[in-house]
Amino acid sequence: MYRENSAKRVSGKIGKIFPLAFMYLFLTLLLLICVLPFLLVLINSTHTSIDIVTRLNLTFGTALSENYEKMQSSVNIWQGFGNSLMISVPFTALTGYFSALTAYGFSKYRFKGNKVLFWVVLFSMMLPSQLSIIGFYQLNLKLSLLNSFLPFILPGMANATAVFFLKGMIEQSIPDSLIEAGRIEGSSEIHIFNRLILPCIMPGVATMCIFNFVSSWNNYLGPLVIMTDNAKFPMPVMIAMIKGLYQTNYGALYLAIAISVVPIIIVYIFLSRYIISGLTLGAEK
Amino acid sequence: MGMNMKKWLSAMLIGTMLIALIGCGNSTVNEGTAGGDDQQPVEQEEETGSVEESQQPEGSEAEGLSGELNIWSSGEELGRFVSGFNQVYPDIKVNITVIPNADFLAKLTPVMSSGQGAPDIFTGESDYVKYLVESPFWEDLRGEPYNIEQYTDGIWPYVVSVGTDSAGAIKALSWQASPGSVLYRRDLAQQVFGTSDPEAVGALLASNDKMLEAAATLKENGIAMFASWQDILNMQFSNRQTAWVEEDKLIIDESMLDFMDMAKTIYESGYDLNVDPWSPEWSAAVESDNTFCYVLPSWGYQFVVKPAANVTMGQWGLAQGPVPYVKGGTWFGIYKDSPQKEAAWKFMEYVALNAEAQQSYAVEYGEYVSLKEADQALAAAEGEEVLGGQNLFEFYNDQMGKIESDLMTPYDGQINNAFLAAVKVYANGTMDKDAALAQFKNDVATQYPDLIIE
Repeated sequence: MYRENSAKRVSGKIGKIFPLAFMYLFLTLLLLICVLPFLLVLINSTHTSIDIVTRLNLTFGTALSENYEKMQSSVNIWQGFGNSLMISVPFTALTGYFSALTAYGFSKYRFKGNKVLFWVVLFSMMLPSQLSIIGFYQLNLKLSLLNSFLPFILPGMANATAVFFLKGMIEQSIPDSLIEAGRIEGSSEIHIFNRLILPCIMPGVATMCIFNFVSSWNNYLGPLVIMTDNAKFPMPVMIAMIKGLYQTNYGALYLAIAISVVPIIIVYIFLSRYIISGLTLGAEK
Repeated sequence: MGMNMKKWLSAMLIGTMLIALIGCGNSTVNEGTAGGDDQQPVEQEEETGSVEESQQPEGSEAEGLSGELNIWSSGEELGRFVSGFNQVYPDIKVNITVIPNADFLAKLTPVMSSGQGAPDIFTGESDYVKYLVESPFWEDLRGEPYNIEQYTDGIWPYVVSVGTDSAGAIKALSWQASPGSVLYRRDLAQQVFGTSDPEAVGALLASNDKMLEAAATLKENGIAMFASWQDILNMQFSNRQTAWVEEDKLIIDESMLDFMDMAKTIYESGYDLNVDPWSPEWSAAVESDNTFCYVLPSWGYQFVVKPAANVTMGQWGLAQGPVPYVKGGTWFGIYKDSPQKEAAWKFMEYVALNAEAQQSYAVEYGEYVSLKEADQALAAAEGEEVLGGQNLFEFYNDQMGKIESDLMTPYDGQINNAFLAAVKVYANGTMDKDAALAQFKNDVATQYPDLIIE
């Protein structure tokens, strides 16, 4: 009787351990798949160009300072880094706040033309940005905004994808009673949004911020066409400049990429907390 | 009533948006392919003219030899001349912006149409240099103060001919020329053919059929003849009788059709490494023991073989293939509305017409240069260590002497790519020859709707 029981317990343990081990194995594999490319970029940034093209490098090399000098000799990467931050951070902040505000208006206020205007927003989502690049150039030329960061920051206020995403989220998770409660307390409309609504939909806003930060950080064609001042170029344009025409300094290139990836990773680390904790969050509990 | 109003409103809105969209689309297409539009040059002149006026006070034209030059270049080579230039003209500051070749026209086009922030000098790669030469962006160098015609005898005729537009205006020059060669491995040639001499190897490669024979022999010895068959196209383009486009009509030269079969044979028989040019495997083949040659022009030696050859140091040779050829190269010219044309011309003069400057540049970087005098002086010097003592200038001078004019057209970049894609699908068996050619014609028609294609 006792024996049988313990045997059962052991087999139960094995039954638990086995799937657990499998799970860990699977997750480790997934981790490797995700991390390996980044690791290879880091490793390659410490090797010479010839080493990079001729073999697979799995350990760190010794050419880091050489690559750094080569990279800095063609462009000043830290300037590009600063430029990119000057563009991407305000862009992301504007996107997050104004998209939430617009989405809130569309989902909670009944006014004439609500549906039609929302259609207009959706429609603008379907235009690829490459299509309008020359028009965008002409517009900024007439506004004297060439060689300025503003053409890449201000459009953040009107981000159709984020509005669409957040509208759905507000409709699902914000009950009208929450707004009514705010009004009964005598709060102004904008105050209700800032103090009540925005914190509730923060997970959604954070998600959109991640996507938009990454796309703004990686924007290449826009700055390339709009800007002519070397000192204003953001990271992706600088990285493209490092690539010589025929001769490719792979080492310097990898180093520049490694540097440019860092902010994206930081943004993911900080904002992903919001997403995970927020997925199950609702206002009315 | 209310419902109806709403419907009307939304229909009208969608209508306006559609019209706006069509309008946008049209203007984008027009500016993008600016090829032979009649209206555009006029419009540009008006706009750039007014901008120039407003910029004039800033330019230090009066002093002539001081100022700040902005140069857009698709490669880093022009930057190598700056320190030498500044020794002669210390007051002219040169800023070089390297713009990736693939996006060069995308960046240049809007700036040319507005004139604001335009560079004083900009380059043009061989793929699109003819388009720029035929466009009204570059200054005609025949007039004052350039008087280019008194110098042209000293430049290889091919270089001048590419920089000359159909009306005879000379608009662009170059510091380089890119004559072709077959870069082969001496040790492998010795092992398989019993000779490593460039003349003898050249004789073994004297026609396309002979190249395939040699490839078969190498294959028996476990050696791939080519790094990539796509490299051979560099040479085949010079093997044509006609250019891609003549009198607005697409012409597929007989030799191009023959080359399709040659590529298929190479692919099917495994005479190459089956990799794309500029891939890591392709670059690594410099140091391999089973790849015989690259069919690349002078820049191939400078950028591919020379920097990578360590173990194979001294084991390389230059031979002529079936035909002498030229491929690639970068030209540059002065923006026609630049406020500092004189300073720009001084820089251009230094880079493209100063034999001494070119000579020291060529020695340092192993690049073949555009002035006959510089190349001839270098031919008398010692040979290259990588090439087992062979003098590349001597070899290339001989090749340049055999090339007079060019078969370049403004359409070359796109058409070459479309043709390469067609040869690829035919060689690897995805399509038969007719289907591949139909695809090619279709691609060209999409890119250049104005061309007559039969």
